[in-house]
Amino acid sequence: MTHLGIVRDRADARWLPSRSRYALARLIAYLRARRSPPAEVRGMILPIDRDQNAAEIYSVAAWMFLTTSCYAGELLARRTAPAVAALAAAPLALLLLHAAVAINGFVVMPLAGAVLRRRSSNHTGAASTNLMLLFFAATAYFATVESWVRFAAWTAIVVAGLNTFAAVVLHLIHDSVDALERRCAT
Amino acid sequence: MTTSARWRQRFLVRGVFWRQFLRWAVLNVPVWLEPVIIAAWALIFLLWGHGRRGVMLNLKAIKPGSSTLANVFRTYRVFWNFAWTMADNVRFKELRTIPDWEFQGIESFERLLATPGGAIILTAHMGSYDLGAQLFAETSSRSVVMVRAPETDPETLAYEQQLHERTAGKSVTIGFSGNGQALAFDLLAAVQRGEVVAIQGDRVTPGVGSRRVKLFGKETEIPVGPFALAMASRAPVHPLFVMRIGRRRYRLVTPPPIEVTRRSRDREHDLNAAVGIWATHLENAIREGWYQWFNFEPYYATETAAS
Repeated sequence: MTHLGIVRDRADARWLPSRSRYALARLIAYLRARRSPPAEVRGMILPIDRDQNAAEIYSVAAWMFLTTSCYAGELLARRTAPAVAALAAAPLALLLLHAAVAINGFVVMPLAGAVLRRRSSNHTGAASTNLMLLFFAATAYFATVESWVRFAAWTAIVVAGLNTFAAVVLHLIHDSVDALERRCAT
Repeated sequence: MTTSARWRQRFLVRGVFWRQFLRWAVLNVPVWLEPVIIAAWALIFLLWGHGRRGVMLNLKAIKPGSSTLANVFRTYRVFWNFAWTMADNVRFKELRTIPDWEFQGIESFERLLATPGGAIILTAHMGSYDLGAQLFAETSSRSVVMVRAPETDPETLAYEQQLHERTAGKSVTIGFSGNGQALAFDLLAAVQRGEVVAIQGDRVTPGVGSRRVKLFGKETEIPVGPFALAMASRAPVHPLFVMRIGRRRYRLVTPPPIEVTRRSRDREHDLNAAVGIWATHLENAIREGWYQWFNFEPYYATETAAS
């Protein structure tokens, strides 16, 4: 894939696939970029960073939080009244997400650093991988539970499947994607 | 101050703990989880009564006739934008992550870059002042002196100075507005050397000269120092606002420069004219970007404060 650092004066570069993280978002960006004619906007500075796609990041954040709230609600419903579980699900999900980040940052990463003999202050990549693994482990469990929560779990599985499919499509059309990226390099 | 009092101070709103916490979060929270974490912490900080009340009082003036309930939601939006701006700033300093930039009034910005000699940039507590200074330093060969009010907490001040020295490089230096006359001479020398001095002109710190203006019909004071500096150095004042327009998206708004020249024997009259032009630009910027005017104190005298 062609890598650019910064694109200047090109508003259409906002939709470059390399500004998105996940394959599904990159494919949507590619289809959008193909339909956008070159648009010169003087002074515009667009960094090529895989985390620049705001729509993608907000969508993933909302989906993760809602799904985690469903899982938290299901766990609470086993011990409390449904109304209490419904009210407490979102706050509990927030606590669980914070706990996961904290445990990863204060325990897992220092341990991994000591074992692998690597020190880095930026743990966002590893945190992303670890938390996603944890999320899909939970999803695998809740997908087998005989209650409404399995719909949330199966939605997560379908989204992951769509993302894998998008990755395959992007691999097959990588020449076209590269050409699109290079268009903004000129 | 006793050890326990000093320890407790770290956890106050302006305490150093929150700066360290933000840095840790920027380096440990997955990017796709940031919106959830920031939404939650913006809500938690809404519990900070002093800041919340300050913003709500300001909004009452900016949005006359607005309901208290609507202003609570608007106040949350201010806190939300503040959290994102702080995070973007730290992310730039630690990871060199730059946002998208676009320009409104690019001709004025290009004139600022192209005109040789020193210049004075006048901005407000909006968007990201730090990111804007870094952008300027990297697009221009001139050094930037950023003037800011010193942090009230000494540990936070030391932390920010250390962070700046480690991450900002030599092209951006910081001067503190509380240093009065000494700073005035330093800034004049900087402009005469051809450097750019960036000052926030929407708030007065103790010991700084000011003028009374009206913003949204309420009397307030704004610093007159930048205009006195412009008159002494014959450098124009370039209004510039760094507006956050979305996640990792900023717009640089640059109205035309303000020439501050002696046109009469009455120096005060000439200064006041320039201050009036700035007040108009400031009011327009706040009207458009009220959700990112990070002024957590009421900008005008209230009955409660007066009593």
